Amino acid sequence: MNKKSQTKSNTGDEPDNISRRNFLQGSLKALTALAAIELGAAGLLFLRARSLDGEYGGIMTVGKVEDFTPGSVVEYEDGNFFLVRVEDGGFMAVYRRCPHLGCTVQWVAKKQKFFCPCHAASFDPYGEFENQPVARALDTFKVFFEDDMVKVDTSQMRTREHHSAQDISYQS
Amino acid sequence: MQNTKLTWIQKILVKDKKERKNIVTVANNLVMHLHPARVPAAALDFKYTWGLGGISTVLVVLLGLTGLLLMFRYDARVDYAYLSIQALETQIQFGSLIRAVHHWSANLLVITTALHLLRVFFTGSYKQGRSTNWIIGLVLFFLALISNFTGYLLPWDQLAYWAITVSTNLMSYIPVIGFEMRNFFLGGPQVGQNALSNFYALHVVFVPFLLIIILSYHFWKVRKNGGISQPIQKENQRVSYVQTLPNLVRVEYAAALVVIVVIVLWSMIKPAPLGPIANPFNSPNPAKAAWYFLGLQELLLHMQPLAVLGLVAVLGGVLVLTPFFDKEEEDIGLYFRSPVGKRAAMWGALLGLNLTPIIVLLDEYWIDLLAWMPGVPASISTGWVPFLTTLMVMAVIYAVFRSTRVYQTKKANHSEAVLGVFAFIVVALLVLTAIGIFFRGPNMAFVLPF
Repeated sequence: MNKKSQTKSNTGDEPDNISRRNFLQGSLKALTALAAIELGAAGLLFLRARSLDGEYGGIMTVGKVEDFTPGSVVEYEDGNFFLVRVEDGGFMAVYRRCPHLGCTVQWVAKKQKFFCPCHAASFDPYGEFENQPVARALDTFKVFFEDDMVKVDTSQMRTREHHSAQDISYQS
Repeated sequence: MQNTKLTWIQKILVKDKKERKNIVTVANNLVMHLHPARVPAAALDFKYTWGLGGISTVLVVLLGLTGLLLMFRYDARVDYAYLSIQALETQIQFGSLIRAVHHWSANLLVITTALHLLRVFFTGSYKQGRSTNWIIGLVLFFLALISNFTGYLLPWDQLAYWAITVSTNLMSYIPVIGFEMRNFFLGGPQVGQNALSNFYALHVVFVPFLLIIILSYHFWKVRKNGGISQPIQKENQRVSYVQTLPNLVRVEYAAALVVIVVIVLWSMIKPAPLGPIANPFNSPNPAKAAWYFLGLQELLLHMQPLAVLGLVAVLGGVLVLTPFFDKEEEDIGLYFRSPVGKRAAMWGALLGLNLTPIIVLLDEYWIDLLAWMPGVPASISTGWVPFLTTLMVMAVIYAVFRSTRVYQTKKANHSEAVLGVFAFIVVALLVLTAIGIFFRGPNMAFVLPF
């Protein structure tokens, strides 16, 4: 397009009319924006998809029911949980990861508490939280029984706000 | 190469032949082109800038060079990362030294850029059209932290693993997008190979690339804004100029040499730390973040993560917005604005120095928000309550500065009051950091460092 026709088309009598040049320029901008969005979305999807699968294992058999004395806490490093047998004989599998910021909690037998070394969160043997950094109890795994054996389903983690009696499993 | 000729006006202004030659040299030299041919004599006053921008630049160059060398020897796979660092430390000639220079330069960069930020804030150097460069500078500071943070994971030792676990989990508390965001950066729900690959790519390509581009813009903008900030001249005063070559360049060379010598000597005495290999099943006790995040970690002991994030966001937002609400220009280039500002800053700092340890101790031994507010959700009692209280304290400090006679008969204006609150925040953060570094032992309980 030479200069003359350009000025003519830009200063047309009807201002509503979009000149061919303006239209092409506008379309180019819109297409560039679209391409940028597409590239961004493709990049996000490219990076995201890798690991959406779970971090947990399957069902673990941990031992005979009688092997655990009431009031005991046993750590299972492979399963990432503590098996707690509460005083009245019920079982809980308490996930070792602190619900605060993900550190591994430790069982301190002397104080009968779980302690997180990262931000001093502490939990009672039921996993209930006791001080300010955290806002929820330790997560648990489902415990069930087969032929007098204690089994823990580590494929699914159960989150909870507070401890409740329903979180404890009993051998019927 | 193109050759600049002096214009006739420069020829009239500059009589000295040697000076003319120097001006041509500056104009024809790429590196020298960062500077104008002549700078105000007052801008060379070391006690004004402390050379912090320049020192940071030297550190960035050092980091680039040593980082490149380290890349040749580092293996970003979880099974080999730690081994490759061990090899650097024990087998490879100069491996330990190069890693130490990289490590200490990175740590020092956090300090020098933070001090640079403080210098610019305390001299009001974000005024007179410098608001854009102030924000660019904040972005650069953030990038320096991100580089440190992403580099922290690479040695794959216990320190690295748990520091990154904790800080990325912190991210998951951001409302709505936090959880997705953390999983995106880690490439999964936990720190593993995907996280290492991500952090490696971010650390060696993405962040440095951004840094170089934005840093160039930062430099260019300093010149575009008419050089570094200076106090406004009285009417009959004339600014005296000196030649960049040799006056400014000489100072820069000297500062760069001192920085390099200090870093290398220090690195020879103290190699970069390397803990035991990462063990996802066992957090060390105590598990501490990198030292520059320990102030935040200390805050995390007292309130919920979202409250801490909220405070950081508020502080960041206020820093970004500062130049748009503090527009009084007559105090630019003066440390602490005025005698009033000086006094406000002093009071703010003293308050931060005293109030912070008192509150930390009270919270440790007496305050128990959860027990005091039974039935109230923890997100309120240990989230909103401490968050709003902290903001309230700052608002009260501001209001007091505005309404009382801070210095002689004068009350603080907005700029001076903000300065006082800022001094309070800075000192409070420093105190929190010191508590986190020196006074926290196993189970994050209080210990004495001596």
